[in-house]
Amino acid sequence: MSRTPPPEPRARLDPARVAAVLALGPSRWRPLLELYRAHSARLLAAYADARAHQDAAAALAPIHQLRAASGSIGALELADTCRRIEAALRGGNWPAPELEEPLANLVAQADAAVAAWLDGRAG
Amino acid sequence: MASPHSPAADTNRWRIALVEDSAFDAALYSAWIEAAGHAAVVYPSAAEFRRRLGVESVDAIVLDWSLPDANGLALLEWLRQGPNAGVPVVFLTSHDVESDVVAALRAGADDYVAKPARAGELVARIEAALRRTGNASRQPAELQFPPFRFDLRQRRLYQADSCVETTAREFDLLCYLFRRHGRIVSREMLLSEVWKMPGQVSTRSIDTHISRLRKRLGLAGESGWRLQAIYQHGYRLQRDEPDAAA
Repeated sequence: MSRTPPPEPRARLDPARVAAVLALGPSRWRPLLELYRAHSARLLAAYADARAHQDAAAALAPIHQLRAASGSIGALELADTCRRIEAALRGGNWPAPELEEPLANLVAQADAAVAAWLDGRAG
Repeated sequence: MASPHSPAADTNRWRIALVEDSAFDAALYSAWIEAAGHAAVVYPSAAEFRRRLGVESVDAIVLDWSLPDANGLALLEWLRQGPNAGVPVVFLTSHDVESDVVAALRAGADDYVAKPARAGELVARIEAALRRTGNASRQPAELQFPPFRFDLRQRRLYQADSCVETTAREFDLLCYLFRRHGRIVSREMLLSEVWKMPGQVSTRSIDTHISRLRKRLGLAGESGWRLQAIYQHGYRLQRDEPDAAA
């Protein structure tokens, strides 16, 4: 039995959201996509740092911003995971491991998808 | 009573404040607002918004619910008690639960948009809020601020039905000031929005224009309007209200 090929990175981004960014024209969408990549990495690091220090208050801001930015860029699975983590934090709890563990991978997938858009339109 | 008006005689350009701490969201929403022909000014924190709004004039405010140093709701309540109380506010929030939306609207927000926002919807809601609050209209023919009347099509100014001769720059400057009457307008804003040459013209040129117009149009109170210099900030045009006790 043949294995299903991995999904295309750009399939992970909601096309309507991507279209709203691309409609701005290359002079605007290119720096925006680059900003998203830098921004999401920074926010993930801030969340991980807050987690390591068990500082729930400090964890809230980066996860909230990551949720918003990821939703805007069309990384909907990542945005939804952030939403659930944020809800747990606002409820005074750390999120369950099964919710938190995929976070870094989802950020990496979104980053790869955005990078693919950048590469695919480089010419 | 002033009629609804657009931001400049020759354009539909509005100055929209974005109170948003997320660098990415601020950049994206700014890009959408600018692509629609408006100007976006980003305030990354509540403290900066409070500090700068005292000296800058904006036409509408997009306010994030969650800011690092304040609750958006508290900021809205502060705004509604100050000199910019009439500026329309669109709340931008991930908190799309009904109670939060209701609280924001009851505190004085004109509308809200749930994050992640969509480009067309965000801009349309900002423009709709501007229209509803009387800060905008579609292609107005004239502005009335008795005894002044601006014919925007012919680009003529009338004072008590007499046509007042103005240069193009004077006309634009007066339109800009009258549309924002009651609010402080900085010299930098005038350079950017009226002269359209930020950093290339001396602010003295503005002062000279202001002084000349004040004298010619009776804007030291004689016409019912007073154009005041606000030390270190800029200018404010306001109605010269008659003394209530008189």
